[in-house]
Amino acid sequence: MNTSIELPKRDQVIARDLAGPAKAGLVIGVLALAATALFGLGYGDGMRHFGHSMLVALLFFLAITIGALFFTVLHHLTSAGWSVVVRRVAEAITGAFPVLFLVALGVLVIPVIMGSSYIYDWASHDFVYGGGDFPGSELIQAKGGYFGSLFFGARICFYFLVWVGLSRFFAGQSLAQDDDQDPSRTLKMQHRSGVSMVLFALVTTFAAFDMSMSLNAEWFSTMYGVYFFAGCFWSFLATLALATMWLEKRGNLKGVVSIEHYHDIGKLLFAFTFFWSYVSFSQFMLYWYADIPEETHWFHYRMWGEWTNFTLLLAAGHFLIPMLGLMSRHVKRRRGVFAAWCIYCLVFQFIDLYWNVMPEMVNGVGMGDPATTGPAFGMIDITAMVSVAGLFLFGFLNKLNGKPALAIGDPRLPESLAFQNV
Amino acid sequence: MSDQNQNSSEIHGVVGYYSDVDGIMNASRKIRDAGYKKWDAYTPFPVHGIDEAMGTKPTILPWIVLGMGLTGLCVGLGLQWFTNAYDYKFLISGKPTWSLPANIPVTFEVIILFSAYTAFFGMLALNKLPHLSNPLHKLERFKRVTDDKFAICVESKDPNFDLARVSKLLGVGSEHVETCPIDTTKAALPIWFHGVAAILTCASFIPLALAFKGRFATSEKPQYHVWPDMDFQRKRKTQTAWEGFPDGRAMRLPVAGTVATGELRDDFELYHGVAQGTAVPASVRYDAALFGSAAGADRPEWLAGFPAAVVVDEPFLERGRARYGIYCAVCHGNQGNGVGAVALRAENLDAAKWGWVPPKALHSDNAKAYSNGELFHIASNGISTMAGYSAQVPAKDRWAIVAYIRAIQATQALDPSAAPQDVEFQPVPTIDSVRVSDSGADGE
Ligand code: HEC
Repeated sequence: MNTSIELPKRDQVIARDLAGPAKAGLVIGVLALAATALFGLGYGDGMRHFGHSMLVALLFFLAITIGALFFTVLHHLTSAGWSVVVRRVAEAITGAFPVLFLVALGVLVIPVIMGSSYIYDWASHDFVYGGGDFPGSELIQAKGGYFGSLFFGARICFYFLVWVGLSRFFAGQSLAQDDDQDPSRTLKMQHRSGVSMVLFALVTTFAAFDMSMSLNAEWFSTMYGVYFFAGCFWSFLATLALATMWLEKRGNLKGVVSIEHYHDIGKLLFAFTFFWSYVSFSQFMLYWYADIPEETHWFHYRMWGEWTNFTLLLAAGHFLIPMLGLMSRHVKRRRGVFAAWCIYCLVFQFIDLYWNVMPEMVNGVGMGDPATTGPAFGMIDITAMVSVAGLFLFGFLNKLNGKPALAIGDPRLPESLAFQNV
Repeated sequence: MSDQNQNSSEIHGVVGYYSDVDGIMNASRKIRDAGYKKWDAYTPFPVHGIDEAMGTKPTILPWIVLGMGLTGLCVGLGLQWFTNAYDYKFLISGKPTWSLPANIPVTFEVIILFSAYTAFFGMLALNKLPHLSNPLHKLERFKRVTDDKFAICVESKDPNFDLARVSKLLGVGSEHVETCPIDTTKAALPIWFHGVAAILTCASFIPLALAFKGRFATSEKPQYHVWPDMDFQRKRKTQTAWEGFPDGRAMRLPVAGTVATGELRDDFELYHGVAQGTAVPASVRYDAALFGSAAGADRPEWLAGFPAAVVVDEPFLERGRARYGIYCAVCHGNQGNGVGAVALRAENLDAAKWGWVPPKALHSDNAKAYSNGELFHIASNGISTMAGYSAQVPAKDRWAIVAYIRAIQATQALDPSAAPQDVEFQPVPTIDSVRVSDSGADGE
């Protein structure tokens, strides 16, 4: 209706000069990784702290990247209109998959295949079958077929293969469309989005099982994949808003993205605040109700003991506060306020992952009781985050560098530009 | 602008027509800036941004929904507190009668219920819907607003209303401006409508009243049968009388001398726990004359060992351990000490005051004195207040349980002082050692 929509010129939206920041990210990432390793050696715990801190950081940025892939596929699956203007940002974020794969290879896969159990208890023969100080675990023995180090490595590689493959397909088609403006590419992406989504869901679920849930291999939750995914999309939306604001400031998306788009991102962020709470509570309640020891122990040492306050912090900070905070439309329609909430959400995504991973550091092979050993937050956790952040930025900016920050060839771009919330 | 000389008290308002969105947006801004309050824009489809152009204030509906959502929160929690923790305390799955995790799903649903209804009906109410008639519908030209035209109507009720000024304002960029006369057609609902509505309203209370009456009245009259052919079938029900057979019963007995498949049970040792060919004890729960040390001359020849049909080896004992764990341990405890989960639970509830009999320890001297055949008979048919398990557990498995009870008795008899000294010895708990001491709390 509003006939005065002007399509931005290609020249105007190209994200130039990102090679420098990308390289800086790489250098900082590698340096911080070295620092983390040094800190890790300082603990003298067989790099156990190092492994778990790196795992938290890896999961944090992997979650954002997974969320970005989900957003892209979902956009095509629902043939969405409003989100065209921010889709390129999501596509660029998925460019971080390869570098995160290298981190996963180095921190998770190779050590496990070389026989180290510094992260995963199930990789320790003594822990599973008895020997040394360990009585052995019948429950893990029963799952022996699944927990083999080579099989584990193969699975992780497969997950990344799928993620990288999907992200390359969707980002590639979209970039090609910038040049040839061919609407049939949109149809092609829509046609493939259904099966991509199924594949994505399976891979992400099992990745959550393998990378995070298996830290306590005796425990199991069929909802864990959804739970992890809820955090993925949540943290991605916050990242999307922040990255878009940054690109807007740089002038790449100036006059393209409007407060209406942030409002919509905010609505999703609000919805997924609740989704996370819904899923994590459902997971908790089923176990609480059935009250079976091999299911409740995972919650027990998180809820009763040194982690109690941390758990309460999570419930309040990940659910109550952002739910009330993000409810109002005025919050979502003010860039500054909304940006603050996005940062808040990222902090609590970190806290969520930390709560999932860290109690397992002392548990099991760590030979401690997580109920009496509380959070041991240290410099090492910060450097680990900085390191993966640097590498993530490298992957993201590298992908975006020299390309339009906007899917200018998309046939629905005018619709997205004119988008208004009623 | 044909009919401008009409008196403003006789008209409903002035209507301007526009051919596109830009036209109505501009006109809306003008009317807004001129400070009019009683006016509205009519468009064939939702126009983004028109609320801003009209100066519409943000709706208060979200606040109402929030308020009702919070009300739902209180109602949901309150309902569960009142029903389950106050008015009628009821123990579910051993959770506290008032426990938040269990209440959250229901509370959540009540919040959704309240909020959704409030949002839906609140939206209707704030929009003054349903709005059954509008004078604008009388205008021929206005009909196109449902198709491809846009219109604004400023009503004469507006305190600033001035016919000439409004007409001028609306005229800018418009296709046409006209006045809308007051709708003089009789607007009242027909009289029969009130009557029908009253009757229907009263009728809607009938089911409620009947249900209410049913709660307090008894009736001698037979029930009303909706499907008589289903209620009165030409057949005899089980366990009823019928003169058609000589013995006056509707049910038939098996022909004398027949045995149902698998029911032969001619292996006395296996199925009855007595020596082959001797008198078979009745399958009753307890018969002091047949049983235990007090039995007299009628005591059956209980088997002392195991029937020839079973082989007592390690897998057999393992089978017994598993069956015992499934069927017996809930009461008698894994160690056979009589402290199973049910027993513990009953102790904590102080169930003895309702006549609860605790399960016995299976390694007592009394239990040791039973022969294998007697143990088998107890496992099959029960003893005293304990029910039998022949319906659930096949005969061979019952023998496996007997073997396992023997194993318990043998191991529990070991002298603790003979245990290796470097092992910390923990005595097996008895029911007295686990009894909760504050059972006088709700003292009856
Ligand atoms: C529902 C609880 C319950 C279960 C299950 C149960 N028992 Fe019992 N059992 C009892 C109670 C109660 C008594 C004591 C009866 C009495 O003295 O009134 C008892 C008594 C006995 C006795 C007699 C002990 C004595 O000293 O006289 C034997 C033997 C026995 N049970 C065996 C079994 C076996 C074998 C099973 C499994 C097939 C079993 N019970 C399952 C409740 C149970």
